[in-house]
Amino acid sequence: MDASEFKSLFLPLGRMMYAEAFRILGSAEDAEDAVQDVYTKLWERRGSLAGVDNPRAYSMAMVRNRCLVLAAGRPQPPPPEGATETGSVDLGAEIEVRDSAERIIGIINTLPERQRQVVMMHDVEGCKNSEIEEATGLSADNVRQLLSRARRLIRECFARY
Amino acid sequence: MRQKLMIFAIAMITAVAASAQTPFFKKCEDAKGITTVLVTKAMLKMAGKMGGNAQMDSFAKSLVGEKLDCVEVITSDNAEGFKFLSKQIKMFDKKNGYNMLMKVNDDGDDVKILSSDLGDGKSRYVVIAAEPSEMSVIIMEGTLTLEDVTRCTKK
Amino acid sequence: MNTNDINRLRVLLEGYYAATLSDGERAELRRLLDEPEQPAGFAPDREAVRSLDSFIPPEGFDERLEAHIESLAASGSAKGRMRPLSLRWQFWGAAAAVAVLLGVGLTLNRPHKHPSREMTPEEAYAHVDKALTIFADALNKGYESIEKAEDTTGKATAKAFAALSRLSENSETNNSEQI
Repeated sequence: MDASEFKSLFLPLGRMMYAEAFRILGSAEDAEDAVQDVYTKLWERRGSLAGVDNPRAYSMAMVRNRCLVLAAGRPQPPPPEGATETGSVDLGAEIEVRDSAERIIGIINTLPERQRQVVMMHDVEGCKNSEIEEATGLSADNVRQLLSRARRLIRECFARY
Repeated sequence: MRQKLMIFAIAMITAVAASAQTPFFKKCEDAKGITTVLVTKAMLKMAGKMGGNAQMDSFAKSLVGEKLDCVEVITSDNAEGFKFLSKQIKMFDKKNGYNMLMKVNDDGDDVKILSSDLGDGKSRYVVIAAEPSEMSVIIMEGTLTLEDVTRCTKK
Repeated sequence: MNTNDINRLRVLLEGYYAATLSDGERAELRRLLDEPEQPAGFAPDREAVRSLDSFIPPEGFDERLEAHIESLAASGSAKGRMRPLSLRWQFWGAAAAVAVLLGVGLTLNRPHKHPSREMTPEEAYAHVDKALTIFADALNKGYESIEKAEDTTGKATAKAFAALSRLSENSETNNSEQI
């Protein structure tokens, strides 16, 4: 597999891989690093990738694996009351971002199934409308309506709490 | 000469790694639609020393580094792999020295835990976790006990 | 934030919730929501939009990724070489990626094949740790079920004994009255 084949197969998955990495790691930099690590590994085994049935699932699994290893190897952040002045703001912000990512995924998972599917694909995974229409079998209008309802419900959740 | 020694050393390491595998693992290793992971004693020892982090439970680290001889994980990637594993797990039966310890079925998710006595105070535990379309088999060997394992739940 | 900006924000939010904004309008909405002084009423909108937008990669992500692949391809020969006697270590990102088992569902991470030299002891530890967690959760779930069953059976047995005792007391009372 040459570079251009590799890019055409795997580059479009980058956005989705980033979203998954961000969900686990809660840091934009770490997520981007993790995704690049995974692309390095994918490139290294490009010779055997032709046998992979589902490049999307394969790549997503690699991202999850990589992020969990990174997350497991991280030093535990100190509790807020024990935090030192230097670095405590960064750690606190990182925890907040990670919590926020987990929180929004939690909210999305409570949505009616179709809305959940559309908002996950559109807003979290960054899929194009045509991809969503193909995956769901819905029309462009239906996708837009479901996305609209999902976003309004999400807003309501934030307003409630 | 140096190259020959290198190749010999690699072959020996390969042989040792191969002999550490269970028969089930050997069957699954080259099967289609299956992914396998093997962590041998040597790696477990290093992992127990260098893995985790300073705040990790020291019990867990000592369990990994000292009480485990081998960890194998076999997972189905697709329907073909699932079918293959469903057939192969039949080898974990009484005839082959396995006893069913526990069987839990919860809303379509099925988990079986079996054990086999390897002598010298060592046991092999097999955890078969199956969802409707995916299956994972975890095999652990060593001097670990079930009590050791129950202490490993993340709170 | 001045009145014009507030009005513009309202219009953009309406478009956002109707899922009709263009990319440019979306960027403008993000910029306005990042303004420091906003009326309090926009807080849920800011949270909702920001939370969803947090999954968007930072600017230049696609370009950097493509550049990364190009550099891999350019330096390619060493990394792409097949090793003649590689050990078939395989790299499992932990079936317990979510360590969710029995009651929440088992998420099986898809392992991928990986040369042994690249698994570090730290990585090996993380995988084994996850495997132990799955094993432990399954075991504890089983024990809990047994305890629950024993508790239920125990309570049912106690109730039955209590009922029998009452019956027996009543019967003795009746007998003594008769006498």
